Amino acid sequence: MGSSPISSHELVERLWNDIRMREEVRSKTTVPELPVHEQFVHSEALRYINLYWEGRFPDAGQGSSGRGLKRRARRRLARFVIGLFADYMEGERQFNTNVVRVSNSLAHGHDRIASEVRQVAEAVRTESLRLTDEFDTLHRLLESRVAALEEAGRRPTS
Amino acid sequence: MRAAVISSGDFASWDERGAVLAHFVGALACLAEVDLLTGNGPARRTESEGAATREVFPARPPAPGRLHALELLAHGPQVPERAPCGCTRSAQRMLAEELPVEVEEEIVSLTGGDSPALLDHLISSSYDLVVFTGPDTAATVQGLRELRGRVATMLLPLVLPGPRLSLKVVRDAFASVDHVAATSAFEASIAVEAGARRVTTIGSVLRVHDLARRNEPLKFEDRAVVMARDWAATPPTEELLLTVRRLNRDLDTAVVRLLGPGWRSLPEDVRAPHVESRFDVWRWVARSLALWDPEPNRIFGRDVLEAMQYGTPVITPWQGAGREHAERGNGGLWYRTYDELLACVQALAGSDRLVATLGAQGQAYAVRNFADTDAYVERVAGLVSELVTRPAIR
Repeated sequence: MGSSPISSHELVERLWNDIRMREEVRSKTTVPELPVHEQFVHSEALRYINLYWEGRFPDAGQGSSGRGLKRRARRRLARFVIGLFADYMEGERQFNTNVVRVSNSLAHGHDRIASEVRQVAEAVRTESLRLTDEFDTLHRLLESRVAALEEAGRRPTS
Repeated sequence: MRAAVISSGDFASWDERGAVLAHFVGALACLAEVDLLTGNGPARRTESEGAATREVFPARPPAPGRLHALELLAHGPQVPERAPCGCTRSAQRMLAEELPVEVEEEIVSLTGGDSPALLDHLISSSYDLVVFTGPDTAATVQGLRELRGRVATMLLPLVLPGPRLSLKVVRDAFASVDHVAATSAFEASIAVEAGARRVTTIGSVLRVHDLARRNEPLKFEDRAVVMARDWAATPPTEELLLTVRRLNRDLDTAVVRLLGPGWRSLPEDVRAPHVESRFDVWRWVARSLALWDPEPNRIFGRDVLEAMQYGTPVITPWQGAGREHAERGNGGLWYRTYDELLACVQALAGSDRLVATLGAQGQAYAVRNFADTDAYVERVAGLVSELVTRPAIR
């Protein structure tokens, strides 16, 4: 045999060990897959509060049309009660308007941040893969250099 | 000396067990008058089989369909062992141990060699040695039961690991035979695990033709990792084709090719064309980067040893006789997972020095241990003489 003996057992151990280490590095550097994000701005709850934030303002004449004395008295009483609560109702409406605006802004902001988190995760994943590939290439280069040096050292010098 | 070798039938031409049996009969014929007894015919007949006389006895015909159905019911699905934990085998063994004896008897009867005429012949003849092949056939189970204490007996296991080895009747056969002759340490370990008391690894013998090295095959592809099989008899599984295609995609400087008769039925992207005979296979193997044998349960490892005799490194799974030869001869690499298989091929494809050194080491081992017919005959003769002359241990 021209070259020095090689132990299959040691070689296999080394190959298996390399794979184990590569898997360990991969598991440490891999960014976990993030779940699919459902956009909050399209959620059913937000749609509901955008549609019904105003509520239904009671109508003073509703269900009391007609000419009877009793009905007239009921309309007058309704107008009185509505007049009594008008300022409160207007305040409540303004408050609801602002709550809906804030909710919409929060939903937009939340969706934007979730999207940005996913973009960052993808960028980190790509960079991690690139670094792993680069590490493998450098490792191979180093191995081939060591092999070349070994070969040169084995050659007889004149 | 008169010896009988009981075989339940013929092995397929590319089945390594057939080659092992033929070589053993040849070696035995150097020191005894050998009758090769087979229980698989419709009627009794006698014919010359080279060094031995073959006698065929009428027997219950094997029923592979019924056997398969019965084993499916008895042991569950026959899934191969995929991981080194041995979990599948343990589960199958537990199921097999619970079977009623009647079911066990039916399983071995359907396996082949169930021949009352052959049994009568064995009892009435005066053989000095009876050699059984396969512990799970009716001929072996019934024959060992009848001949216990009467004549020296030997068993060539020639059996793959599986739930049948856990059957009580099979374990009884292993325990009652005087000696088990195995072809590899892997096969010997199967026998010991199944209850054999005395086991000797006698190996086998094989020779390749040097001419195959000197003439290049048609459409030879340089830097090929090859796998050989009779594809007409055993078509490739989807899993194998997927692995080959994945390797071809992941490898930059090597290709994987499937060789053997039936190559026309293989997909074009994985096959090597015009490989019909074993000699054609040798011509590829002799100049390939490596031989890959993915079968994890080889009991002899003929393909691996042939490649090693040509100085070609081998790649084998983590268990089996293939790994044993690769490790003992320092002539190859072995793997458990796809990543490890890929790493093995890449290591060989990336270093001509590694290929040359492993090839030379493997060649020295294979030639020293498996190419010397005289040494093999001597090993067989030594074992037979010891068995026939020593007092029976019963």
